[in-house]
Amino acid sequence: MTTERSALLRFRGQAAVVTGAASGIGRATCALLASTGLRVVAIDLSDQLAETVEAVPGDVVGVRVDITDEQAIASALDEVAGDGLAYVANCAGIHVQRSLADISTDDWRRMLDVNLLGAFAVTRAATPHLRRSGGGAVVNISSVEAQRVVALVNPDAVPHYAASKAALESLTRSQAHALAIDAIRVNAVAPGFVATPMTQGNHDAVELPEPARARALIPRYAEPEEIAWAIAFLMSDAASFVTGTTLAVDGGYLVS
Amino acid sequence: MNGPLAGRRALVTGGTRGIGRGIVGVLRAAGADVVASGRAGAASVDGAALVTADLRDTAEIDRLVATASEALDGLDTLVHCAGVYPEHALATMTDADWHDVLNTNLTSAMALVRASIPALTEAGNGRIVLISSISGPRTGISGLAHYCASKAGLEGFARAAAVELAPLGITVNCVAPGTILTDGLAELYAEPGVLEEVARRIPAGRIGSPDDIGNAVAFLASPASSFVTGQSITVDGGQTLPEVQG
Repeated sequence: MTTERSALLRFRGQAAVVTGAASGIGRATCALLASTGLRVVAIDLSDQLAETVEAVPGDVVGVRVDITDEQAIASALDEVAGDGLAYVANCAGIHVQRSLADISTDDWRRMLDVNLLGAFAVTRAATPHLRRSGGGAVVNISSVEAQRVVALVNPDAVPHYAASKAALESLTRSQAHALAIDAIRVNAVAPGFVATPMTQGNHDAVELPEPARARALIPRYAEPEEIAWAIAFLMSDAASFVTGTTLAVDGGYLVS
Repeated sequence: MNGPLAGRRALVTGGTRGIGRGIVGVLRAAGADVVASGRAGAASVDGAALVTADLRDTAEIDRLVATASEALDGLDTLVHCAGVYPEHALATMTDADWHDVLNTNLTSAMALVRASIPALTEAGNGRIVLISSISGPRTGISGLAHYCASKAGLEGFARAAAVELAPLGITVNCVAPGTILTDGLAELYAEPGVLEEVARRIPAGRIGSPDDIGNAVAFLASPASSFVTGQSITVDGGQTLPEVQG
């Protein structure tokens, strides 16, 4: 099935950067892109990265670097990216439950640093490589929380997380506009509830909590692979006229 | 035939010309079996069975869906691309002008979906893709108030249908094309240099092709998009991003 579906994906470029690559959506994206023959630069700060790089079949190189450090990212890419780097998937993100009253300034800055500055810095560091490849594509990972207050499961929503993702969707449009001249497309994917370590800890929770089940049209967690497919589609030549958009992959959450 | 859509059975309305013809080509190349509908006298399309139907007539739509389902031995995928865009200034638009566009573009979607529900339900993972537009859902065009209303209406219809049909395993999504190079567009922009000027105003630097829309439809029709429903994918080369065009 994977091979047949992969026929949907054609890539003119040769290599992709994936952040947040050690687990969850980032890991699934690494695996899918590598399975199409792309060389993947897998970026994460986590100890798990080495195990992921080992486990994912294909041409995957791991880099442990802080995505908020643009200089460090640029140096790392110069060192390992090689020729034909054309794609970026900004999957790194954090999600820390805090009520509005409890968010400290440090909480706020940390959230915005990782989820917004990180995606901004990685894309800007990668842009010269994408230009040299004759263009390419960037996919940012937003969230349904950019558009909707998600408070069904926990009434203390996550205002700083939601703000970081809404800003990322806006940044996606600005980047799409600014980078079109370099034949670089920029889009976002907005997942709903996805079964990842970030949302579930390391527990194997397979059932969506009841209030969310009642609301969702497709009442289950998405598998990380289902998000990876949307990322790969938007990256691929099949989406060569798609830029500046956000595609929700949420089982109908936003329209229910 | 092998491919990501091997074994899928699709009906594509407006599949004999323009964007619809491109969609048929991409779905065929991905391995789907396709019935294309067109108006009486429409040219046939390579590799797809042709059924003629007047989509302003909901009885003809019932017949079209029945004929297509029989020819394909079932139906997994409904793609509604047929649409008209005659220019009429609001001040002189007649009721007939309005109804003609709304019936062809929007009421047809309701009738097509209604008639397809049993076959799509039986298929178990039915897919509906409606071709809307940036004009209406995102922007407006003078002289095309009826067209813009019909396309904005399609997106609202798609969201409601996504909610209602999810329990049946059917996803409903839209693709919203920007400026796409079809025979119709080439006719509209026939003067020398106009197409180049239009392309210059699109951030991607080119006018889209029917295949660009076909690729988005193929994604939404494939197992790769199983968690996507109620959405609209804009395929416009960034045309709707800047506040000032060009």
